[in-house]
Amino acid sequence: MKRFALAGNPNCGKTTLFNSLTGSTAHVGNWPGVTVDKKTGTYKKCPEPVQIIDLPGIYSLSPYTPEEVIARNYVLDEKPDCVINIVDATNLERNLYLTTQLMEIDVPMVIALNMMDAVEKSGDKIDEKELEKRLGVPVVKISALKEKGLKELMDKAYAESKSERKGITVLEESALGHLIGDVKIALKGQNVQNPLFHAVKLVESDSIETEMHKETVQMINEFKETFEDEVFGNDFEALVADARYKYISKNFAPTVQKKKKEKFSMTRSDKADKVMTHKIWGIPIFLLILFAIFHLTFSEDFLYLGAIFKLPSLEDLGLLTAEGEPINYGVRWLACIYDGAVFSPGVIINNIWNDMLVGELFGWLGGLVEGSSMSPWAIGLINNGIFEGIAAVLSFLPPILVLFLFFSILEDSGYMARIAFILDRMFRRFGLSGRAFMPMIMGFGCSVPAMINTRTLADEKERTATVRVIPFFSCGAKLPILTAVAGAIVAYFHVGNADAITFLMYLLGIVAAIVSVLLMRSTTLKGETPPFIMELPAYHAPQFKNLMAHLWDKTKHFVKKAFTIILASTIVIWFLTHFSFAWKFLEDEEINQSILAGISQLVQPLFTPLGFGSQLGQYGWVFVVAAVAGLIAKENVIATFATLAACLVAVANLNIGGLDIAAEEGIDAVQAMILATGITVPALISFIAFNMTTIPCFAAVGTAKAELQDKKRFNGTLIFWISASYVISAAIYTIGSWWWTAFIWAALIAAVVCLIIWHNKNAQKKALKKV
Amino acid sequence: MEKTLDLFQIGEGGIVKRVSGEGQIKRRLFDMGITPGAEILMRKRAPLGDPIEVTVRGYELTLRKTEAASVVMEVAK
Amino acid sequence: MKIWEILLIVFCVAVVAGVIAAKVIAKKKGKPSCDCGCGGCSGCSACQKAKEDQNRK
Repeated sequence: MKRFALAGNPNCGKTTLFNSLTGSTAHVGNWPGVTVDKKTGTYKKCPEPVQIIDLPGIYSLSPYTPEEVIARNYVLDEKPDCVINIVDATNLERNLYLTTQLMEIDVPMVIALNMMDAVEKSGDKIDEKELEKRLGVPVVKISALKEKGLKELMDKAYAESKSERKGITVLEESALGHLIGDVKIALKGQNVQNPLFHAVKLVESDSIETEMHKETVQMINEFKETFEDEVFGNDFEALVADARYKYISKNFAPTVQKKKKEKFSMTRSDKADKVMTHKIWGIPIFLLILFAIFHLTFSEDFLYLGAIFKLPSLEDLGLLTAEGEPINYGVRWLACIYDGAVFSPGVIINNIWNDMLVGELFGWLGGLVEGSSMSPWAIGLINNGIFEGIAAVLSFLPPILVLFLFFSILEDSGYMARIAFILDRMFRRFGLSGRAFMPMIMGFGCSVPAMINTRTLADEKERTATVRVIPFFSCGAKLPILTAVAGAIVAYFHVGNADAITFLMYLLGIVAAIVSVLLMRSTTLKGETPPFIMELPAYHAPQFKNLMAHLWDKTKHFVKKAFTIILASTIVIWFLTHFSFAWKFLEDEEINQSILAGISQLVQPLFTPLGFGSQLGQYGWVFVVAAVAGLIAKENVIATFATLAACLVAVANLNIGGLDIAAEEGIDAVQAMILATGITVPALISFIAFNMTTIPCFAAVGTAKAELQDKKRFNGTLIFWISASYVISAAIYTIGSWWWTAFIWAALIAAVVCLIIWHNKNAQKKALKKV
Repeated sequence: MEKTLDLFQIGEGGIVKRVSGEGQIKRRLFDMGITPGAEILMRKRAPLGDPIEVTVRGYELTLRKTEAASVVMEVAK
Repeated sequence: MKIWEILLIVFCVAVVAGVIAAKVIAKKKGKPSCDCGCGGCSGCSACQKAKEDQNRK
């Protein structure tokens, strides 16, 4: 099968084109560096099927970050049948800089002038025939987004792939033309592939190349000594870059006819940017947007209408029966939207999904099983082992999707890159560049792609620090733990409100991440703050198609996960709680003699300082089981709660009054746990914090291992996760339970900080003495 | 008049004369189109005064003051 | 035991065994182990690549 590689600058639409060509739904976003690894797909409309390879975006073929190395190596070593160089037509000059480098490689090539729709809209014109003539490579106008010109592009690429192409360079006329020619001949004599490309890179003293061709470097150095340019001296790197840009502005730029004469005009994107990154309002606007996202997703008092206008509750309106149930079906629907306050959109969707769909469905299924003639154990297995777990997990789909939708909008609109711009100064204090913010925000969706995205960070130590703290940015799977426990705290202890607790826990994660980075960057991962040079993409309205693709993908995997890993885990947990070590079947009431209880009671004391250990008595081990099950997948925490709560209700003869564990997103399950164990509020918060900051799920651990590569760093990371979660949770529990322990913690932290400062000063002195 | 890019006022423009500095940062600046002869317009500063945003070769680029300090410019009249 | 109950046990064993087997096979094949949307993930072949590198060594 023929292979066509898509290469081009970051954010020029490679992945959009890839999706259009192959019908995939690969993740796209409006910021440079979304794609950090090559992806493959198949295009079927050519005479034979063609494999399309989407490469990470690169600005030049002298790589700077790990993902850029991937792109360069693919084009050079894997020898695709054709390179489709995608060029952002709205930004021709800089994009063609890469083109002039790609042209030097001996590979068939086609240029796709992307975003032609945007160019035409602005009234500019590009003479592609003239450009084609000057470049010597076929040029096709396309719009990847509107799917225009794709067929023509692929036909051209297919035709090109049948013949060979020798590299050409735009540097021939420059002062270095002769040297490049000589080096090329020398390399050709050594049977080097792509001699022209390597010759140019050698002349530029590219570090990878000088390693590869040590013998030839001599020749260049000799030439260097005799060479003196009036502007650049003998800085060949500068000379080459300059020659490329000079050639581009002289030969290619004239093919563009700009409509407007002014050089720096204000576009709509500029106007939006003026507000969004305003000197004073930039940061408040950012915080407001974050707050609005959480408010729209979680708040049970939308825009605080209920509090402001003192709206009556359903009970006040006489729409509830004496038992607190809606009087009719219509009121049930109303209760999804309003009860003393208008709910935020996220909560409304959540209520409809849970009360009207999932709750009904599983209630009906449960009743069906209950009424059947099966033995009690089988009914228990189906209802508690299978249904409870799945229902508890599925009930969290709406908030996860709504939150994810908002982050997708941020990503797609181009605001993400601006956040990096706004926050860079602050991040620098912590030893990171603003660029590190993007993988962190991705972490709110899922840690796995977020960790992989850290490849865009050039500095190895910065990357390690970022990978380590990414799990602290609470991912979608951890959200159920937050909302269920927070909801139970409010429902049972009547303190605070659920969305505030959720929001605060998210903030806690962010603060923990920042403090940890600061700590690591001043101890084990010391180093210079890496540079920050980044393109800011133009704003555009989020693409509906894109957003839906993101959401659909998220839904698919969430549901798939619920019916595979989570289902298997709950079944295993049910079996382990219903059999003793002697393989005797146990009733719900005998849960404490089970295998699971036996094992977890052994480790229970370890969690005493965190508030959910020995002090919780004989049923306290349930929290330990939930936390450990969370290592497989974080959704398991709530699924385990649901399964175990069913037993606890039977065992403790709990009287919660019409307890419906499947409903209320696991809140009732947590309430059952509270009743059975007598756990306190600080301990519950500590439990959330522990799950948020401890070792993430298996998938994320595996990714961290792959991304860090270094075994020692990975082990350090595991130790870091365990100790961070232990310290944070212990602090929350002790301070929450006995306020005066705050002073002890403060003293401890002060001591550690002093120690680090003292140690660093000493090290500095030593270093100075050596010099 | 010659001055480095980090000292530019908002709205001020100029032409790159040379790029000092070393290694990777210089390489990156070249790749992003900051080469001698390129026109640069200072757009704005981030809320905390750093980094800065400039227009170069028709697109928006952000870089820190420390990196901008290695770009020597000829101020346009 | 009734037929339904036997089927139930078979189903449970099949789910647990199936999930574990699928994971093991995926790992052997070097397929990504992440469950959180690999199709939409920016580095969908990353887990695969790490595995390939290991094999090469």
